Amino acid sequence: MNGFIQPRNLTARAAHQVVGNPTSTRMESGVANCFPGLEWDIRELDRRFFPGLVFQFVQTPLYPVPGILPAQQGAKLAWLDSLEDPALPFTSDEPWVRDLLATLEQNIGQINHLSQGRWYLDSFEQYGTTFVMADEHGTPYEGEMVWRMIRGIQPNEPLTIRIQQRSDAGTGEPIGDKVTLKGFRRQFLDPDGVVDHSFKAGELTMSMCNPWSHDFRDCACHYWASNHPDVVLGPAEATLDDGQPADPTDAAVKLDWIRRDRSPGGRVASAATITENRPFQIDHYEMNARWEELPFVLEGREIGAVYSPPERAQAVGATLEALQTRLRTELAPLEFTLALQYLYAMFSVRTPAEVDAERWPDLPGDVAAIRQFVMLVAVSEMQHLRWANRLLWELDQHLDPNAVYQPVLHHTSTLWKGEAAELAPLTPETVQRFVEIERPGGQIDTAYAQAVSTLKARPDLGHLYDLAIRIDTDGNEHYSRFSDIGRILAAYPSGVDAPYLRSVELGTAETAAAALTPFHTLVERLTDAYKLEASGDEAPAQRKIDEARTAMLDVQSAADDLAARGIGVPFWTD
Amino acid sequence: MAAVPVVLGQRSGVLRVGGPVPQAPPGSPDVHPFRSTHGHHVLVADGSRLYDIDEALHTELAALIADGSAADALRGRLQDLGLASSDHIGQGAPAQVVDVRYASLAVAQSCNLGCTYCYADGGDFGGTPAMMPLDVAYATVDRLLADADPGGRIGLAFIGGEPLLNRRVIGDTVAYAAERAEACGVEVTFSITTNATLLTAADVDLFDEHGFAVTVSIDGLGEVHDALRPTRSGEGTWDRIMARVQPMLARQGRMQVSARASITPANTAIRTAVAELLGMGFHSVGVAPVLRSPNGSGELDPAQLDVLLAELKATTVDFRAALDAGQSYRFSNITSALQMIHRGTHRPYPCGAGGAYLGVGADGSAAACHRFVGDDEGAMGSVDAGWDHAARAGWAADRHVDRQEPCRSCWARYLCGGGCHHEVIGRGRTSCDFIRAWLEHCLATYVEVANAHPRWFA
Repeated sequence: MNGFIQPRNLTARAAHQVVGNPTSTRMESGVANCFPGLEWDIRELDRRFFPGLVFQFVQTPLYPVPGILPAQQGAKLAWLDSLEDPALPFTSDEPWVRDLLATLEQNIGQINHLSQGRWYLDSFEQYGTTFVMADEHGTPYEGEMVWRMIRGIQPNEPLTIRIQQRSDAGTGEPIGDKVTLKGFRRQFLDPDGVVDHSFKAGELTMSMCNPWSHDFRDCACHYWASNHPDVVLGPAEATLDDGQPADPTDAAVKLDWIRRDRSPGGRVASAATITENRPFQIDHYEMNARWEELPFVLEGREIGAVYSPPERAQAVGATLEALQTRLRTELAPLEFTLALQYLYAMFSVRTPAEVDAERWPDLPGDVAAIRQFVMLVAVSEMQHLRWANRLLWELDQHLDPNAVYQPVLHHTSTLWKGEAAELAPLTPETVQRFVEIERPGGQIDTAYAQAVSTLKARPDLGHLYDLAIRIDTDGNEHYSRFSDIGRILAAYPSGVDAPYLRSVELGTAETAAAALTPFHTLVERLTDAYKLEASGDEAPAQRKIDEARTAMLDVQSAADDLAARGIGVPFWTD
Repeated sequence: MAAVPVVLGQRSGVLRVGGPVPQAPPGSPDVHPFRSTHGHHVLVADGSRLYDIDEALHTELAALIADGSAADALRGRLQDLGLASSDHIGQGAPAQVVDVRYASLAVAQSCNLGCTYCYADGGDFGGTPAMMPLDVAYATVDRLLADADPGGRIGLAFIGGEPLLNRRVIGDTVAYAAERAEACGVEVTFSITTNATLLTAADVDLFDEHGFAVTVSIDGLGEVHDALRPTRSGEGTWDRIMARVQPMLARQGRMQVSARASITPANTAIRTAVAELLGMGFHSVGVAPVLRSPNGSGELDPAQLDVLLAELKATTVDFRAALDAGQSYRFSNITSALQMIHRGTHRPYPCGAGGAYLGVGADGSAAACHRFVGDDEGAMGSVDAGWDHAARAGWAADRHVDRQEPCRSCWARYLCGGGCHHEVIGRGRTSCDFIRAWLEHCLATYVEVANAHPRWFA
């Protein structure tokens, strides 16, 4: 059970991690907080400090052109936005919203009122103190000064502002009556750090002199990896019927994201160092002119035109009992099986030290990447195995408080459409099978989409819903990983000559005992740990998990040694 | 465990007579759940983070804490709840000793009053009365400026004894420091702690011109003060200081004048005194219990600390009432505690002693703070030979609250910092229960004030 927790003081708030997007994507962690003007212009937040109005902070020009309008400086009303401001729904029952909308409506229609002439912020009042936007001689403050004063207004506290028209003639003195508006200073970010919906796309960056990509030009991958990728995969434009790229080799080449030659012919592999790549990258001045040519990067790949997310399986919900049965008999065993299949395949791939680097100069890097990719997916499946078990023990308890949960830590002999689960080396055919297994809309995806639908209908099981979502979402990444591996392998001979494969044959209980012994320990410890966790004994469960981790490291080390000697570990024998 | 009557001198290894060492503190070193009128809350010691929680979680955490064997389970639970984090405070000594930025100058190790509980033992620190020569004061200024970067800040505090016994050195030092600091592009701040019996209009002019933070030692109202702070011949001083202080209070602007009371068994009834002193126009009023005096006189025992705690809480009621009425009430014990809790102040030391702050004696010797002047225990070089950085590094390592017992198993350690070094080394930790009870009160008060008057923290 997760208790209610709300951070209260400043250090608690600073340490609070919001579930969802990584912290680097939150506005409060933006570079602009330290370097205003990089990424976004903080002043643009205050344009919309008062609901329904949009201001512009104007400075007197350093070198004014003769004949321009007088007294331009201050917070100038740029336009009224009361119709589109989400803070002012016309259906609102809030008295202040109704009053404010009525006042604005009353003043818009009249001659010489807000729809005409130049209107400026005259003063604002909060907590009984009035701040006038002009000095003791009545000379309006500069926009920057007004902006600083506005920044001091407390959000979500009653606020009264007065705006007044300025004459276009003479010295631009105030004319007509002041219009008084009562409301609240807008809260710019919601509690999760998300920008208020009144701000339109591009509004926070529109006053910057350079695109952020210019300022980040030389930061390379050392600082801003999340929004300034270093190397990327090119867009896979031409595809075959099954969605695979027509030229898989081309699609697997790592490109410099800010390469100058963006033609198809310019898609040559990025060099290994910043210095080597530098002459072939666009420069600062080009960045300003060509920043729009830099494509978005999703899942490590440049998106050429329109990004279409993989189609998701549509699933209808089932009963909790049906989900419980499916988890026990199908999904948890499937996760166990997949994790071991992927591990077996990973061990069949040579290490960088074992390949013929003279003949295949890129192969050491490629096998290192492949082993890493497969390992990541295998680890992810192990995590799914735990989550599937957690879903199970929580459902068990929910449906029958007296039920005794039994961990599911065994394999299934049948994967999909009657296909047998098989421990096989990472040949292109194996990779293709893995791709099919993880393909969006495939067996796993459909099964978890159904779990998500089932749990979505049960708000009382919200944490289980979150868990199902996480498993479901990971599937897309697995699919991308295996698809990438397929593209990499396509550059090399397959079959017995495959230069990336060890020659591995399935071993026996005796020949593979060095890995099987810790493997059995691993399964035992996990069984104990899940049982303990299910009964709420978290500290002893953690100890068992730690022991299981140690056993896993032993399995990994022994299985890799055995594979190097041609012996594959028979994680199951039927 | 039986109470231990001695405390090991941390750095010298000398056994010193001290008071009892409290037993292991109650609760968990990691978290402290508590209640306010707004519900349930938990303080996470690391980072002094404060969270609102529900009753069920409060009950669960309290049960884990009560079960002394469940420390691992409690930590695991905190991890699950997202309340664990990387350490805000390092366990070891700081990698680098900070520069000295602030120094107190014991310009007069002598005093015209005869307060029996004075930490300076009648003003002379247990030695011969001495006046600081001008060259020592100038050398201190030079030393501080030598380590300060342009745009930085240094601070000088004039203390005694009674510092105004040596007002010529104060005036000359202020002029010298202001001139030299300006030439270096460094800001300099001044403060003074005085009994105000010798205060003159010229002194006030000096304080006002240089924006002094003036602290006047006042231990009660009228007769209470007279009894505690008599002249050496036994006469009361209340009327005398009031006549001198009131014109100074009227001139506060750049200069701020605060009152500070040392609390002995004779003046624990602070509520009325705080109200009266604030009413007179003192910028703020604070109190501190006497826990160590050279001859044991005036020290508070646990029962008397309980009386003081009740008075502190009653004075908080006055503070809350003033806030509700839209007025200020600068009772600094509560105002500073609330601001610290709001910011999540977490510190491995109770103060800057031995770190950015040193005390300089009349002879130019440097000590961890003004209380250690003339005491080998806190010796840290001199203005002539330079600060003893090795001693300061050793101090920083030894005095870290996580190396103190029973502090390192106490939830309040990063709010308290381990207690005044001078009192702890001399008498042990005798007021931990009092401090925890006061902090518990402050935590709940913080929640209530933050809900009722969020702007107060802006």
